[in-house]
Amino acid sequence: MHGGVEITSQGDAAVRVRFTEGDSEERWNGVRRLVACLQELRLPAISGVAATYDSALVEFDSLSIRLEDLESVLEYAVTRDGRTAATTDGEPRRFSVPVRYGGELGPDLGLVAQHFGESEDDLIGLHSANWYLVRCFGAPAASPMMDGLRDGVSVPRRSDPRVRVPEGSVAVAGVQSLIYSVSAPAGWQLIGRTPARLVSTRHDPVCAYRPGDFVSYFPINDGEWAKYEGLSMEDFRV
Amino acid sequence: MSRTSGTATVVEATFAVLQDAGRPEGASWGIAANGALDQFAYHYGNALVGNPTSLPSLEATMTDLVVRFDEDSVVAVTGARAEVTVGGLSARTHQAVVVPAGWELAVRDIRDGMRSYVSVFGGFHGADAFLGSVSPDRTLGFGLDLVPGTTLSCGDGDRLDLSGRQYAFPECAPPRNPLLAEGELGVLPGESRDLFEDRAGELFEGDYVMTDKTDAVGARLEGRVPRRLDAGEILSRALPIGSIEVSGGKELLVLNRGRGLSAGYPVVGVICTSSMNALSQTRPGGPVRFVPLTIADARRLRVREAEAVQSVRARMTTIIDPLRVATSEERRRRGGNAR
Repeated sequence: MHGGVEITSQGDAAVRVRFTEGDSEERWNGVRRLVACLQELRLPAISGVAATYDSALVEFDSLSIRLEDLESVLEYAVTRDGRTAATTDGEPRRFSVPVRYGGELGPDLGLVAQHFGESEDDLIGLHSANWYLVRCFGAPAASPMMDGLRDGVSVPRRSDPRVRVPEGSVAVAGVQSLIYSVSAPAGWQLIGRTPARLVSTRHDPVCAYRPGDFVSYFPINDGEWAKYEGLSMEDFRV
Repeated sequence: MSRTSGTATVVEATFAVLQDAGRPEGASWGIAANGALDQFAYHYGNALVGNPTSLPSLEATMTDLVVRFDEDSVVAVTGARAEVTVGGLSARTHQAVVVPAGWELAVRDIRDGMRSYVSVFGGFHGADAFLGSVSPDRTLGFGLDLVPGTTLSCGDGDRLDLSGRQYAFPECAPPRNPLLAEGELGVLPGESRDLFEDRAGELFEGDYVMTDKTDAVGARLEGRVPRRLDAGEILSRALPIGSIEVSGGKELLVLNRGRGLSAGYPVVGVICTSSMNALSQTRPGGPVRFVPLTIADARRLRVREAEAVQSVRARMTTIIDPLRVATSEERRRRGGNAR
């Protein structure tokens, strides 16, 4: 076994590769290099790779490859990672996304501002001044999971999760932030909402962004909403 | 799929959808695999009608499904036990049958299971695909719900000459599971077993009951829930289909093909691929029992299922292929050569 990497079977159709050495940044970089390497190898027996913060779940067809053989391939892939930069994904893309902060569309803005000891306006300024690194795809469907507002400041989740938050909701919780690609039940704090469409089953690929890309926000008012409504993330690429 | 041979019209349907094997590559995009919940029944049905590869089929969940075909069609019903009729005449499951032009195929009284599959020679077509699959993704609002009046084209462009067919197609009962009895689900160790220490073994000690909370996303089971000894946070990570999650409530949650990909709950075990078909056929109130399985045994079950599909496919292709009659368009395309 390669140092700092754990390879464990997860049922009969998946293997997890977990990076255990270094800080969270190094682990995440390890995951991204592994994903790039597997994209390059294009092994038909691997059906998909679901990567998150410190691990990647490699799903495979047990009729096409034996678990032992897949584990060997993965061990090779992680030792090769030094040479494989994240070249497959190319340069990171940047998206600047309109957000209607506060009000009905961001009912938790005040609470989050309070948590940071800021006024609502200052929090909007703080939130829209950053570039957020997309760490991975999350739930629901292909939602971009990003870093939080400010390093190390954790935002508590709602004690009573909402049954349904609307598509496009811009949310924070813990040290993470997220845009809901589709409406879903959620316990995250909602600070605003974007009219941008994140995913579409009619587009290939299904979304314009991927892990390693950056997202930033700019505030809009009610009057500007219609101008941006229905545009896709690709339209907000800068 | 532009070349088709006929049209199928839904006459009666309540919970029925168009399904295929799903979109496993979606995992790389944070998109659930979805697809037929009983993958074996889906592939076996396609094999029974002589499709060289599996094509879209109809999946009916616990409710009757009636479809009319406007051309002579070879169809098969697989999955749960059900009352199958062709033009009112009794027919069998797990056997290809001819539905004459203008007649109705009815699948009624689905029992001893949740889901029946209707496969047709050449497959059902006409619905949009997303990441290569027509299967519903409820999270994204994608998929084709069948309602009375829904029309789909079917066939692969070739007609079958079924006029002289006096004898029935062979009945091909699916093979019995050699390792697991009815209601038993094979389970492999989960990654969070340490968090439960020896209590993870409680999973194998008693019966569980399927609740009415069962769908493509997952199934909640009532029974003994192992208690977690360590309460530390688990960093969100992707979980495989079949994961048995302990979320802290009174029920276990088993993740199925439409699951959200990442979660932070501990997983005490993973139900093997083959047993997920059985889980998806377990009705609310039905008992299930977990049985520890090795990876090698899980693979044996998969291989056995694949071999069953392959052998039926080979047998039925030999019977059905000679019945192909090229359509006139087809003959032109092939330069007028007789087959």
